[in-house]
Amino acid sequence: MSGTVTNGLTALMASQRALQTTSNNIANANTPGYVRQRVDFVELPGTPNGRFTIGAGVAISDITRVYDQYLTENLRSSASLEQRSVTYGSFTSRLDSILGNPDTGITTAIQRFFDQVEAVGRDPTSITQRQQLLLEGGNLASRFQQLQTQLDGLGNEIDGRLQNAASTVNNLADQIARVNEQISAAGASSAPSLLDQRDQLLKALGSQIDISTVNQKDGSVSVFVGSGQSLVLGGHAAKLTTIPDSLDGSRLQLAIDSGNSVQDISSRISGGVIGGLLAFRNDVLDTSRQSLGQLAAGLAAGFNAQHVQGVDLNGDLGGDFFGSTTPLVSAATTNSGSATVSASITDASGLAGRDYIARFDGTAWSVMDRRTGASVAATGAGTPASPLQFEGLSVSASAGLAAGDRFLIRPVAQATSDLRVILNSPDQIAAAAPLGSSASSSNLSQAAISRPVVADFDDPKLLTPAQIVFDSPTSYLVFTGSGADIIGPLPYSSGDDISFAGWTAQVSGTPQTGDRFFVSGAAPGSGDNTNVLALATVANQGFFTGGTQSLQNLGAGIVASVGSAANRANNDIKVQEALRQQAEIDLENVSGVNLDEEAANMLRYQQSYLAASKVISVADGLFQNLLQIVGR
Amino acid sequence: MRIGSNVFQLQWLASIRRQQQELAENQAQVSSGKRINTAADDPAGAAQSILLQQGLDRLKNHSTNAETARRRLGLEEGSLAQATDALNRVRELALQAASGTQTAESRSAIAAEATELLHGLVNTANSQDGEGRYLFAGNQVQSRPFIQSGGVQYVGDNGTRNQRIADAQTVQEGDAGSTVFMQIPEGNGSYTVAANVANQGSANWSSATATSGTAFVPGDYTLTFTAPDTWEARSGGTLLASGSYAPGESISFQGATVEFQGTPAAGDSFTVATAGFKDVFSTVRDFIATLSTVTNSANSRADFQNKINSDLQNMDQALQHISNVRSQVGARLATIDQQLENNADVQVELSGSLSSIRDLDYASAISKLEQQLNSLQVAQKAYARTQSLSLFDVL
Repeated sequence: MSGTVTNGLTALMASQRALQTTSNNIANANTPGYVRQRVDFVELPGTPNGRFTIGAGVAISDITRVYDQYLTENLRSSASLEQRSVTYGSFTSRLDSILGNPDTGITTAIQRFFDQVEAVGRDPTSITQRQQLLLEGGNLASRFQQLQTQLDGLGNEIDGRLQNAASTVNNLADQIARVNEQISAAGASSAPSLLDQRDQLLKALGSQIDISTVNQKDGSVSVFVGSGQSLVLGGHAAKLTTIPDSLDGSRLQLAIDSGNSVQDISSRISGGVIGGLLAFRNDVLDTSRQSLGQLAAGLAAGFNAQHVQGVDLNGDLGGDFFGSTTPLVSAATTNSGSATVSASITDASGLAGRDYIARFDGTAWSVMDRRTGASVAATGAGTPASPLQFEGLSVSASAGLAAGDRFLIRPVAQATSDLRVILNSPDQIAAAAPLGSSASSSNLSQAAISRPVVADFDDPKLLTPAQIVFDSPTSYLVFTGSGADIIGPLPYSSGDDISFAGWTAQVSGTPQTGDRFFVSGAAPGSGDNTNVLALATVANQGFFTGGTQSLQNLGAGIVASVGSAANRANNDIKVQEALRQQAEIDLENVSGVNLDEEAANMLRYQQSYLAASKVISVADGLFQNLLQIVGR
Repeated sequence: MRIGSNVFQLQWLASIRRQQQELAENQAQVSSGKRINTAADDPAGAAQSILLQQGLDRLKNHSTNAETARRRLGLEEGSLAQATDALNRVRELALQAASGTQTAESRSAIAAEATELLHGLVNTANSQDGEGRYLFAGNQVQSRPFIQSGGVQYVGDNGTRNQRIADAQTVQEGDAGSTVFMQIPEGNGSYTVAANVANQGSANWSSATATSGTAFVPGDYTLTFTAPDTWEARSGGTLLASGSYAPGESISFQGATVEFQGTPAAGDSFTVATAGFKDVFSTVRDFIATLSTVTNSANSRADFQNKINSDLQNMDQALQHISNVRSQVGARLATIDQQLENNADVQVELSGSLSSIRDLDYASAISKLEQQLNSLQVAQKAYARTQSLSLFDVL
């Protein structure tokens, strides 16, 4: 009899606990990270009684967290990748809207400048048109600088966000360490809510940075970042911090401070907000800045190279139109030597739009691409006498090198700020071809002279007026003034090259003895537009990569590569979002609360509670009956 | 399979967000009218549209260049026509003066008209384009190229300017004054004939041509009539040829054939020399000087005839030369017109390609928009229905 009461009581108790658990599940149905709990019943062993053993009721063996470690980790890592792609994508889209608008981008600015070059070609002596060209040159330069400022702004923002993310990570790591402590102190009886909380913290941490975790025997979780650096060990958390790049003090890198050492782990991080920031800076922003610099350097060099081949309105050989740029070299803070390294651009068309790390191993130099680490072929010993030469650059080091010293070489880092018009007056625009030629009006024959072509712009007598005199129909002399620098008599037949003082011309026809031809620098005020016609094609002619890629192609290429990065990033966001959603759904299907299920459980436990009460009531009835019988 | 209650909401939210994003993208395209708003919308298309846009800009520049060249060549053509008219009038005057009926008075009237024509010719040679640049100054476009002080000096240069009218085509947009007016071959183009001023007879040359089948051998030759009916040709004392002569006969040597009229005196000589250049102004001035020749004897009439023959020869050379320049100008104008037409065709083509890459197909974009709005509505209704289902409602 008392067994029946006891059984009823255990059932009553168990149902009550089960109802409580169900109500907790219902209460937390919308709590993020809540893992539903399930009541496990177990029958109590009865005491053997002769031939039978009658059960002793029910007990609750356990309240299980319906938890799946694999699915939880899957959600954490897919959320980490999603955050990376969202961060990467939002920055790339911003860059795309800065550089990628086909109507307002850099290519339009270049085209406007060259439109004005054409206008000068139509009226080469017009000061108004020339003045306008200087203005358009200035506009082009400031367009480049605006873009550079915007790109640099993105770079600074990344530094700021890295700092924020590092402090968020530190905060989360501290909390995880504290929860670890509580869990290991409580041992096996630790509350499920603590475990839920820790999983939530780990997920939030994973959204900032990719982590790996290891469960320890004491119930704590160890968290590792980078290439295995421990961020949380039991109750202890290390600190993430930002440090200046050892090669380039202008940018921050992410490092871990384990108490006794600070280690740069930037290159090891691929996930979370931090992974997205670093990947964007490395893959997209740096490349865009380098390409923009390459374009600016190429534009200045290409335009200048043609401009110095003309003469201006004063009859002087043209100077540089745009300022030229010098590479930026910085020594690693870890260098033990005292040497400084200087670099210069020897051939702008050889520039490849990338930065380099040059390393001295004690005897020789090796050069590699800063971003990819790919080795770059270089010649020379790296001394001033035999500079290191690669990709349009010439690099030399002073004395004091130590083995292992590294230098960062950024060829075009200053190219956009160096791009400015350095001609100060419109008459200095070299529109005309440098030399003109004519036949003497007293010539006996009708022989004609071609326009001289310049072979050597450095010849000091290039622009000095020269005369070709035929001392017979088949031989000639060339001299300046009234007989200086004389060469000849040289044999002549019609169409032969006549070369003198850096130029070459041809006389065609049959000259008579005494016939004279004059070659002289273009007179001041020349309305010739030969050099402008050549300048007008600078942007469209092959320039980079061995003369196959024009400046305008590079400009369009920058737009396209940023565009395709943004396009890929947008697609990647969609993919990662879908994967994270699926992981969330998978987890939710196992660990999430289903209210219908809970409703059914509630009914079930209610009924079993009612039934258990009835058992007690029946047992009580039996007992009362027995008392009445006995009491008679 | 067990489904968490929140899964419905998660899935619905994801789907709504995706649809709203697509809707926003489509709306941005519809409102701008462009399929490519930033390069991310279609990276390859964006690069292509940039290059097409540049092609269009270049084409526009080339067409503007061509119009500029056409305007200047048109002005040049007008000036050359004026010069031709003036020269033709001078030639008429020369023919008029050559006739035997002229008196000293009538010749001086002719000289007065020729002087006016010379001034006009100089002014024509100093023509300017609408922007104040001299057309015939070579590249010295800012200074007056022809200066008249006695003779006419050319102070320009012999440069010419080209304009680019297509990627691989330039056209010369003018001719230097030196080429047009100064460097005109004299005589018959290969040699000149001039009488010795001391000649006593009445012989004068009436035509000077190349010997058929033989080219003129360049050089300076002296043709001397050793007697009224014999001649010899020498170069620097060396005897090259000799023969007999009767009035109206031609004398040929070294590739030159010169016909003479009248009777020379023994010892009369003529110089036959390789032709150089004679500018058109000197030709007219020579003619004016010829008009003042006194013709009161057979000998002086022969002198006048010799001079006027040379003048007419030089005028013909000048007319021929300017006509050649005019036909070159005409050819350039034709080239420009042809190229402008080509440019217009290419422009239509490029604009079409650009539009097909960059611009939006409105019809399909709008129908897509409708579709997106519909499916968004359906998703909203479906969610409302699923959320209203709960076992708790029936408890």
